Amino acid sequence: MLKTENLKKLYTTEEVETTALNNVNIEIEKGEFVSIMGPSGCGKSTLLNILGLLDNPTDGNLFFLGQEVSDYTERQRARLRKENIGFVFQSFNLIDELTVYENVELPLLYLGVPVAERKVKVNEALEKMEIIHRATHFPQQLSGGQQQRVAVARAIVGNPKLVLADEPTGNLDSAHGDEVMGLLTNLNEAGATIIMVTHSPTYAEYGNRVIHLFDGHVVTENYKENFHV
Amino acid sequence: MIKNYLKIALRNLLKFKAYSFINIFGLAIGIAACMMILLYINDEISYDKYNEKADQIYRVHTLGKLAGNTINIAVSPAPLGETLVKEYPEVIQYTRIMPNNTMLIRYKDNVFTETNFFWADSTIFDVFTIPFLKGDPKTALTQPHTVVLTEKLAKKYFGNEDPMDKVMNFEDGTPYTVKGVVKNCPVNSHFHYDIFASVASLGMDNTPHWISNNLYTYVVLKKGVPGSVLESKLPDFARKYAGPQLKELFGASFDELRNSGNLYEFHTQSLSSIHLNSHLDYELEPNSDVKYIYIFSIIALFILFIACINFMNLSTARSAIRSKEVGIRKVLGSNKIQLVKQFLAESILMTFIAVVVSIALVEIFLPSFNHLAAKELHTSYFNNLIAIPALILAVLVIGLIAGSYPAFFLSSFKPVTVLKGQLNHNGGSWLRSGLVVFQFAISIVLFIGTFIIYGQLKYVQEKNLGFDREHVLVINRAWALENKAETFKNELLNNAQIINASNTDNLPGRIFGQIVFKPEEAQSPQQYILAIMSTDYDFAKTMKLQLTDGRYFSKENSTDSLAIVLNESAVKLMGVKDPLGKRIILPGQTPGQNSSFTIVGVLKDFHFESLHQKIRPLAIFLNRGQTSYLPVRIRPADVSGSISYIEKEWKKFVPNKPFEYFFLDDDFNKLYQSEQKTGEIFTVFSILAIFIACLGLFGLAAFTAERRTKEIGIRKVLGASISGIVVLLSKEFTKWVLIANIIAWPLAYYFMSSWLQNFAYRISPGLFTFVLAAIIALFIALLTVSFQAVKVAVANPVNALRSE
Repeated sequence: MLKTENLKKLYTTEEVETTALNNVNIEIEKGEFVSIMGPSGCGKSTLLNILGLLDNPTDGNLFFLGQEVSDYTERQRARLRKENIGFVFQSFNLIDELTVYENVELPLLYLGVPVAERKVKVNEALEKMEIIHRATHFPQQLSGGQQQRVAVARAIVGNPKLVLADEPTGNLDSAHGDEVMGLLTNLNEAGATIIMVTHSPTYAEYGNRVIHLFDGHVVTENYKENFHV
Repeated sequence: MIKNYLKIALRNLLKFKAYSFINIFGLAIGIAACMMILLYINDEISYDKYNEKADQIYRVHTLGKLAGNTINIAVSPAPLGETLVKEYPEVIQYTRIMPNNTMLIRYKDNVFTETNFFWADSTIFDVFTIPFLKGDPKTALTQPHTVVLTEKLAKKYFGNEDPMDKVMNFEDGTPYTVKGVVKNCPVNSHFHYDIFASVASLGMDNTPHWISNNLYTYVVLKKGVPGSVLESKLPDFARKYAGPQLKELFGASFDELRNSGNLYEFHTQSLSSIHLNSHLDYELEPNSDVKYIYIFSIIALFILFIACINFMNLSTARSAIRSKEVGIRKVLGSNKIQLVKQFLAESILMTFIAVVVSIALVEIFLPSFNHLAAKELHTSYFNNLIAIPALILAVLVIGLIAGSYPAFFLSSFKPVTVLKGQLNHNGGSWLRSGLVVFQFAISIVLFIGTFIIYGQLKYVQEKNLGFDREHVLVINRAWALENKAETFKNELLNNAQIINASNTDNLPGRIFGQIVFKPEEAQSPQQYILAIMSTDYDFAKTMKLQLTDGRYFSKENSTDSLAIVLNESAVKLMGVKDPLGKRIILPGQTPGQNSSFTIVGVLKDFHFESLHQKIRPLAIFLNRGQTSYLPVRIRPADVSGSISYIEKEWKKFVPNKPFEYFFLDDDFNKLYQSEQKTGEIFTVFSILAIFIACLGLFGLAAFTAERRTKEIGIRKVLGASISGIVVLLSKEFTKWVLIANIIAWPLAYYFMSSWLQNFAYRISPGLFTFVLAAIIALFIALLTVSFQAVKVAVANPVNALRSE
């Protein structure tokens, strides 16, 4: 599904050049649940952004569903994104001015899904996340855990092939954190490929593979024994 | 999708109420100001176009340079119109009018003075579109002693009686028969009539004089014939008809005169151009100026632009708030175009609301604006075919202009950066500062303009005119006293409140006729044109005129009926040395009819015309007959007592004629009415401009303060004082306003210098005016900004730091 070859990302400011990623070579198969770990500033989020087609690498290749996409324009990436990728963020990133229902509906609007079908899909997603009773509420009326459930519902409503989660439990207490991890596991079991960045070793263990990053390098890759692609 | 955009837009609107208010209200004021100015302009350019033949009608006027004097007058000789029709087939009709603004008319017990009175040819109804309610336009004014009234006037004199064939008496007792009633005169006409009387009644309409200009001549050209066709034939026409009489008068042929630098020409003006473009002497009414149309258009555009800038600035300043949404939308697959569309839709929605508000504002403020601009403007959205589409177009265009920059600015955020919260808050700040500088530059230009207009108005109203215009009550239509004027004057002087009184046929500030003179001792045939007036013995005393030489007319000198008093300019023009006792010749119509006058006094130059003009050479004759005006100098104390005393005396002398009076200073100041009006409009719109600019600044300051909350918190923790913080926050804005001054000063200087050129006597705009404008702008800006700055500065730093 995803493959990187010598992926490199440099950030250049007026005086300093920072290497965020250096020669990252990873391959992620369909159906995997991959956790990415590492200390602050190791390049986790940068990697996730590139894998999620939010950003272009400075150098190296990125294959998404077999296509070389590292030189895609923002417009092309936007199209691939909306059709294939769902995102979950640490800070939820819901639009405050839209209700729960409207937030979840948004990706479908950009996909051009007809109104009747939208209704069905949004309700399905909200039911799956057990948040349907809050459909008409605004994000700020919900608890953190509830907001993250809305965010997950929004990530999966378009039925994406890949779900990217950037510290999805970072702003949650442990009860809500467990709950969200449970949701992600369920999604994975239902067939979605998941890549998650986390600080928590416990939650990282939910994945079938843990990639450790340090100063922009992949340090180790640990597979769980009982996992088969 | 559009529903989603509108939903977001509306919810944002409601959530950030202060911001929405500033944006919408500022824009609404801008649009409303713009709409009112457009209504004003629309009215100004509509003058005389209601005439069906508007594009065929031309006024022929006289332009010349004779005996060192420029003649640039709206009037023309009596035989001109008829001769043009005879001579040129493309001239199909002509009409002439002559105003009289003090016509006393009586019908039974109803006696009124009519100021909108015109002697007119019977063809007036062929040329102008003047719809008849009663009577026949073909015959109404063909006979002498006939009149045509407007509805309004018919009602005033006759009430509900049928006015047709009723007889009215003019002041001299002559009966005039009403032969028609017409609709009231439209407001947008370059002259306003209430009554026409047949010019044939005067007997002067058929004089063959080509050098004497008394009538306003309008001709109708064949459809499709441009005015330039007639214009090109007029030089030959003038040579053919005016030439012989010029030769008689000046002893030189038309071409000889022209070769020696003289001119005598006729020119055409299209009817619809008169109101805005004609600035001749003896205009029927003070005309407007196309310059003001340009100036007001520019102001309207600028005000609108200032309001649009607010919109752009506040939207981009708020980018931090909206950036998260942009990021999320992009992550979810929105592309840039979709976001641009979304933000444009939002600004168009805002503009739409602003336009609705502005329509309400126009309805509320149009009466005041009408009062200010002396207009009768009204909105008619549904009678006017283009009004509604124009408003819709305005919504789209303004929405797009105001929204374009924020739309592209906001939609270009990189999702990764904004979602990480690493947005560079200074994005677009250069442009933002530039726009604020621009706003303030415009406001400062308007300020300086206002100051200079008022400075000049104050100057012209307070300048020593060479006579004392204060506390002079002028009795109008003094001829009603007939031969009792002297006795009346003496009677007035019995009252201690009355200092002096005089009889005169003319007054400073009114229109002066002119005649050709010749100094007796001059060898050359050189002749000079002097403005003329005639007064009794007491005029110089009453007006407090100063003599530089000789004396004014006096009763003791029985020969004074052949005496003349000149002003210094006249003496200088004619080059008479030791003028006292010298004689000047007034050439008669035929040689041998010359009369000569002895110079008995020289007056110090005084401004008998407005300060727009240089002081002209003037000659004053003695007048012992009936005159138009009776100026009375009264003591400043108990003015109303003096008025009622004078009125009581008047009633004793002429019980059946109305007592009419005015004050000389008011009358003289009317010469600056158009500048006064412009000044007032300028003031209103410059205040509006600075208000809208400040509204924007207020919003911007709020966001700057908000953006720097953390910085301010840290500074306070480290020991910064409140005043230190206020200075810190105000410094940036101060810098902008100062830069705005640098841009505004030269612009204002350039524009206002050219405006001042309208005055022969003018102030020179001093540095003080500019500095004052700068200080006011700075003061207003700081007041606006410091409100926000203080709010942030006094806040507890703990709160500021916690929010991060």
